[in-house]
Amino acid sequence: MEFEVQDWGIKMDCLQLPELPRELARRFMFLLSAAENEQLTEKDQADWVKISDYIDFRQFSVDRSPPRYQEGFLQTNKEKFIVVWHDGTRESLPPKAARALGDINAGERFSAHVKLGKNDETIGLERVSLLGATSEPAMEDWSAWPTKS
Amino acid sequence: MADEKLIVDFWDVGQGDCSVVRLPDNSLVIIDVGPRTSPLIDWLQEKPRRIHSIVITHNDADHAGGLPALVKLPGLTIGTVYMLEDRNKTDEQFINIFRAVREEQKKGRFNVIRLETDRLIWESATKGLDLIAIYPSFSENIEAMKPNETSAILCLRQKGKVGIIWPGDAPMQIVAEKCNGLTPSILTGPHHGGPVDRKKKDFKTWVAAMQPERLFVSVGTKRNYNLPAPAYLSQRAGHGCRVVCSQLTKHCDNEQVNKDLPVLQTAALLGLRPPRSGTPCRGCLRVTVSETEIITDAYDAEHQNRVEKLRRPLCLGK
Repeated sequence: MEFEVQDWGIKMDCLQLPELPRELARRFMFLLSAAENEQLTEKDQADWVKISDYIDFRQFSVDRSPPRYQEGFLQTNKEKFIVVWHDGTRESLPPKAARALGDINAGERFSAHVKLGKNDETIGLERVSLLGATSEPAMEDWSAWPTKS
Repeated sequence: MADEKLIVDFWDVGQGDCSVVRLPDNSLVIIDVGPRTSPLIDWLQEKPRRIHSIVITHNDADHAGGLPALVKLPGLTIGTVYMLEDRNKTDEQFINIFRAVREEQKKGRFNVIRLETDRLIWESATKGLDLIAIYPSFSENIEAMKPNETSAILCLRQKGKVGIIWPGDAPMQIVAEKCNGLTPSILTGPHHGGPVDRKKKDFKTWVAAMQPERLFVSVGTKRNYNLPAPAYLSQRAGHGCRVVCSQLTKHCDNEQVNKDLPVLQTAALLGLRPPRSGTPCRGCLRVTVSETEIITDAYDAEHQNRVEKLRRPLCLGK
């Protein structure tokens, strides 16, 4: 006897039911890959629209994304680790992420590779480096930048 | 020579702006990179790509905040970064965003060149397609009193006819002056669907000066500064313009926003990456551009069906 998974384009023998989660994951990965390579057929495209309603694509992407480069200023490391990122956003880091800033003093600027979670929150830092004193970037001469040609 | 085509992706980056133009040789022109948390970075990290140029319309964090992460990505080749001066260079945020850019420029990874009127970013071999800045001139840039007043306006032209306009956050008065009488296929924003001069008495006249077929509003569900402006979208829709927003706002459907239910996950459908916050409405939009036409992706009808089920969708002028 066979069964069909509605909207997913999957048909299987009932005896293969334990394989269903794997088949769902494979169908998802196939369609995402086809979308990335612009190789979706019309049928795939119609399935993909429906399937995308069932999946948490944001969580999938968050889990899959590597840390990214950011620069920040450690405002305080007393009770909380509060960082001001290069875009001016102020964030209180969760304790697990803050541990990576153990060697940075309050008032110092640093760069790090930052793992971002849902809602743009920092969930981890790695490859932390000091960027020098707060005023140092302003000492550079920016007046002739950018150039005309 | 075969008709050259471009693929233009208008990204959903939450609150911010970002578009990616894929050139016939598969290299990319990036027009604004979105905020620090821009999903463009996730996408670029997955495989090495060639970047023909990065164009920053102005230096606000929601347009340029992703720059440090982008220029520090290994495996990318970057040709030129185009930017303009829109604030005092002692501004701390300016220095912090562009420090990494200068550092990489000094290593010789790319050039950084001033963006101004008539700057040709790219043109096709047949010269039938080009991307050009039409504002600001050098003097307009330095005379501007506020960053948005000097936001660059970029045009993608098809045989000289303007097909797509990116005005960044430029005031509508300036957009009207520079684009008077134009009927582009697509206009973005400006200013996330709430032009900064929308309360001025001549605003409606400025809006009417240009009649786009479609308006793409890149706006975040969260931290959206009460954008987009309902009256602006309504006026555009009233002129027959098809309005779409990247993300849903509470104006459109509070319940759906509270449940964080996307209207359509086009980031997945197009093989792109979603932002980490906000509720997608149209999400991303992809168009294919040739010398004679602009064709949108296959998800317009599905999106329209779903939008009509929202409580008060601003894009329908309700």
